[in-house]
Amino acid sequence: MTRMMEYIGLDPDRLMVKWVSGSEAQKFVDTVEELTEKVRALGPNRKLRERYE
Amino acid sequence: MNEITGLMREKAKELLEKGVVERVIGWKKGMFFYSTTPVVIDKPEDTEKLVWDDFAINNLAIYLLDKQNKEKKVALFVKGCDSRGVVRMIQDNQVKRENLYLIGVPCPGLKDPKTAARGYYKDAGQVPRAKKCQECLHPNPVLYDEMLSSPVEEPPQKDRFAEVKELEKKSADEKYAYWKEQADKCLRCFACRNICPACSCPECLFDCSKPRWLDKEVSTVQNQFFHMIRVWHVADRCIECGECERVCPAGLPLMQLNRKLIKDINELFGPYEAGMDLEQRPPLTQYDTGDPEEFM
Amino acid sequence: MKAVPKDKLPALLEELSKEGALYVPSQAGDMSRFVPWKSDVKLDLEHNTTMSPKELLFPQTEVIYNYKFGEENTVEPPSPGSDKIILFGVRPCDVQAIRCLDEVFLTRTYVDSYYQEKRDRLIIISLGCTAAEDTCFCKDMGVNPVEAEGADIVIFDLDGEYGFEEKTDKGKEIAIKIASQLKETKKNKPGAPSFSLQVNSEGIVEKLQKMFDHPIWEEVSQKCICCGTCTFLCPSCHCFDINSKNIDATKGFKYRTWDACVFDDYALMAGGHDVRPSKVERIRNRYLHKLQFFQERYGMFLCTGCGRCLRECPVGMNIAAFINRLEEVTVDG
Repeated sequence: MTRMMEYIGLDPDRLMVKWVSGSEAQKFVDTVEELTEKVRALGPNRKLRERYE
Repeated sequence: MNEITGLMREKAKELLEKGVVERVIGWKKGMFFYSTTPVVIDKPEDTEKLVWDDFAINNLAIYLLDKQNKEKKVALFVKGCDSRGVVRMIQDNQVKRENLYLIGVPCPGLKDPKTAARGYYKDAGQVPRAKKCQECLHPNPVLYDEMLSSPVEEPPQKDRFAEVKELEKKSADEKYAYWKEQADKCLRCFACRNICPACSCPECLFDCSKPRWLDKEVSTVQNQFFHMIRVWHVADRCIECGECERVCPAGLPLMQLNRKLIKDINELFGPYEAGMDLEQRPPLTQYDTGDPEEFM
Repeated sequence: MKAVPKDKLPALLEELSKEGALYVPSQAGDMSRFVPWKSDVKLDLEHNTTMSPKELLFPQTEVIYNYKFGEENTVEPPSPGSDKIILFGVRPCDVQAIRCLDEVFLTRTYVDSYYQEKRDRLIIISLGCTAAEDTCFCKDMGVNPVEAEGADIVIFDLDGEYGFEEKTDKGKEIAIKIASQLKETKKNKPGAPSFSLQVNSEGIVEKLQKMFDHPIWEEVSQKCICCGTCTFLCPSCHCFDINSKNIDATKGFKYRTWDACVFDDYALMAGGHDVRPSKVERIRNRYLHKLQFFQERYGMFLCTGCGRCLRECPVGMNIAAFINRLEEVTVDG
């Protein structure tokens, strides 16, 4: 998936796939925070945007 | 009339007369020198319509998915690409091997009727060999009940991912601009999907209205999504027959998308060519504890 | 007749483009279509375009209205354009197709304002054909391949120059603007081109009326893969589907997009009933609409013989061959 994203010119860092079980609350929180921080650093995505956005 | 055409008619007639099959799917001649089109034959006397020539390029495997052919005993003429389509369908339980009688036709490389029409060529000799045939690595049928002639020489092995590798080298913005331009041309006529022997869903997600996965709006972004999703859905099923790219009225380089995924699958799960071997399990339909987890 | 030398045509087009949005036939990537005129656009006047000009009058996706939710809900249609739309180099078959669209969208009680708005601004400068492709059969579908009935101006390839003939007041008005570029010529209009494809459309309406349950439909539809190539490239196909799209919780828009009668879900009703469940019914409907129903309602064929579907169909479906096959068909009564 990340390879294909790269191929069409998207930033693969915007994608995260993680296995989090229903009982791993803290891991879920950490994962969301990790991705949020990562994406915040990357700034808003300008690709694949609808024309009226 | 060439030799193969004669053999085709003979064989088809015999199979229908003896009741081995209920119908035969092959090619017949159309209106122009370049129109050789698929034909379905139910009666022995109609087998005279069958032909084999430079333009018998359509992959006939797709007709096995047709509702009206699914439960019938069918004889199918198969080139290398047609036969690989059939193999992959059998693996997906789309068709039953025992319902099929496959007649192999080794393929010398053919020409595209659309190229002939668009190039305003006056005779078959002027028309260049089709792109998909230039790229073909397996012109001989891989699955058949009998062959109509001896196999043709296999073309030299070449790097089928050369185009993909070239594109990979470009910068992210260049790649994005390139695919955006391609998506912009798409008419969403769904010819690529409908001609594809790997697209076998009775109801396609793109036609689904509840929920609507893909907007009916034909815009660059929606087209980009369409082509991304399409290519994922044929991952490890695409037999590289190149029909999608050939029939696209807007000329989208769809094989560059298909081959990218095939290249990734090869890199992640080992060498694989879809539809070459009935016994080989397609990589995405099995699980192994050693499977790579690149982005997990 | 007035004429312009071929090498002076770009200057004339430049002049024309000052009068409105000028579209010319050009090779755009792998597909030829009508594109906005710019001095670096490569004109292709030799062959007809792959994409028909209908997309300029009836775009593939067209917003019908924008809506907003809130304390007050509002609906706002898109603002109409004001520029003239000048179509240059349209072939007579495509002009005939525009006449078909006019009938559909502008007559018989309902007027489609989206189409009308663009149609009113349209000026058609047609190029009479001096040669026919192997897939051309317009003359057998009631089209004059040279004169292009319905055009505002018809131009003729006079070997080295293009002759101009105004056909309507709109045409005369625009011709005045480019008058300085035109000079008198003594050359005569070219004759009708010769057609290699002969199609016998005589009496087919009466015949088709009796053929609804004929076994031929099963046979002709067998190889169809139900894609939209034929309908989307067809200059006269005009079916559309209406959908809406929410941009966010407060606003969105309603739009229409081209639909194709050969698509699997075209005749699928809410509730799951499909009035044309297989391609046999779909192809029958497509051909009958082109060749019978439209004749009955409007007195003209909805197929104008441009040959696009013959050239581009992935599996070689051929409506001309179908018409000719009707000769062999016998019907009762």
